Amino acid sequence: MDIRRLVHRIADALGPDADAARVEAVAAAVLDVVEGASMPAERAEPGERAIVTAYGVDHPGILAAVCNAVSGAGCNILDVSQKILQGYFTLIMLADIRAMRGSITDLQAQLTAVGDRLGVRVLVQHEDLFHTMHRP
Amino acid sequence: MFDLREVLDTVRMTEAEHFDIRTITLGISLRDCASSLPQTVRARVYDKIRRTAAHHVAVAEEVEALFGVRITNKRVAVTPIALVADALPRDELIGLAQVLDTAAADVGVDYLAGFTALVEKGMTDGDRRLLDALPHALAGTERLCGSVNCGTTGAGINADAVLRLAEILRETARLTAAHDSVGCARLVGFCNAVPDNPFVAGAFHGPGEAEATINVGISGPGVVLRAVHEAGPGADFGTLFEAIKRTAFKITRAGELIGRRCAERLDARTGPPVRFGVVDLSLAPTPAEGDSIAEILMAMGLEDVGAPGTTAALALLNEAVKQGGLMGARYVGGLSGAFMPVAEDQAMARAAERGHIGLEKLEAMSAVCSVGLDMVALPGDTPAETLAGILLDEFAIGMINNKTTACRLIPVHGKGVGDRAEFGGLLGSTPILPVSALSSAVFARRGGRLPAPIRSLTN
Repeated sequence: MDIRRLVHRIADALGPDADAARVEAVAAAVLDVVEGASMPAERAEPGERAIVTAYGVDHPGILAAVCNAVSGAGCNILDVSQKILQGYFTLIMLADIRAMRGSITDLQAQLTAVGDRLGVRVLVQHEDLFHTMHRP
Repeated sequence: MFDLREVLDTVRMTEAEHFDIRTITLGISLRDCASSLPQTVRARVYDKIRRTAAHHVAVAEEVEALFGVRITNKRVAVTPIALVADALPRDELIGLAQVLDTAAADVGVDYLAGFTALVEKGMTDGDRRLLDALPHALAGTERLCGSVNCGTTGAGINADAVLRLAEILRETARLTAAHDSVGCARLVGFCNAVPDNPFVAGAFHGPGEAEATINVGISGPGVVLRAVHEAGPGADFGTLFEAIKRTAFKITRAGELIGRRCAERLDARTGPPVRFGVVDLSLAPTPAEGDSIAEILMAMGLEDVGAPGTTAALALLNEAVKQGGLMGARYVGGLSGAFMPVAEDQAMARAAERGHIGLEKLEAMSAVCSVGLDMVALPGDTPAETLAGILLDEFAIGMINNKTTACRLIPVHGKGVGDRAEFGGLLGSTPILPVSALSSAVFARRGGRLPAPIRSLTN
């Protein structure tokens, strides 16, 4: 990933809120981008993580805004995968929610607000659902 | 390790294809509420439901948020009331129905089921009083559901109970005539009723069950419809079967996970212990567009439901859901088979409107799926003996084939063929189906019991 482009996009998305510390905090959270079709994530115990997905028409700043909301809720972003296919944006993020402030309902409400602002759907779902549905 | 395709597959199911958990039903034993004093029964019943179900809806909503999967209905089932209130007079049973309705409202559930008598072999005096109370009990409440088990493979069919049920249907229809006889939509007649069915109106907490149990009804017609579309018109039956099975596995896994989480959280917060019971592998439609079982059958290649091949298509669907689901859940139970409620499934109601399905085709379909004639509106002047004949036919299919058959017949008071019945909300609407004018009066009035079939003698 092009780090400079990422930092510019974060700064754009934060707008007047952008200062060096905030941009760095968000950038640090997104740096761990994994390209490819799978997301190894062994840094948190299973059962303590959630998957955030965002999809919709691509705009600048979606990744930054979602990272900002997830980090802002006290979650630690473990992995991010972003793809843009024919102008359609898809983001999948794995976050450690052990230190999350508030409930998952609160986080979903914040993410819905972010999504509404940017015209994308943003969901947060506990990882157990994904483990369970596709594995015996 | 997460496979991104799996993540997107799940998100597509929950977001685009109406995948939801149809019901999380808390079964509560009321056996410790029995007394010969009506006020004692009322107080104990209300208190037990309030204590056990106080957090039921809140917990289900938390788990809904945790997984981002909608739980459409949160409901309560109780011990068959005839077992709890066997000593009460009819009018006190009608009063108890109102207490149950209030308890349901106070714990925030839309339906509470179990105003039930199990009379497959005979009726106690208490059972008889409960049946006498049923029409007024249903007409005087909004959330209460009742059922009558009229037969089993082991006991045969209690024809006296069947005729009585037919009379109760007519009386309930008359008492709720102002709303297209909707009281009958909350009353189910069964052969081989099951004790852990999470789906109202036929749910009850059977006598062999624990103190409190969470049972889950899965759903997902939209998800199965996509699987059938993706398999394409060229796929042979084996390929189609496999596609549905794989989908059923996924939705069952989600159902089991969500049910277990609900049971664990409720157990931690509730006085009486709450256990996880079963996943009911039933596909249940709603009146929402795209949430239809009939559309799945049509996607398999039928011009409309009712075309030759419909029963075979339903058999394939039903079996694939069961086989895929069995692999996905530790404990399976309840009705576990596709539902074909006419009023609640838009495409079914449309097929009825066009004259493509009638009672006879629905009866044939009930031989290969979980319920019988479900949410079927009939002319209000259908004689009780004719209704009893229809019920006897359905129950005979259940008795002989060792399966559950259920009937929710609504003889809509004051309406006839050519009219529509509008029940509102999840209950939907439907045209009134024609009924044979041939008389069954002598047959239905014979009374007594249809003896159990030879297949009941398995020892």
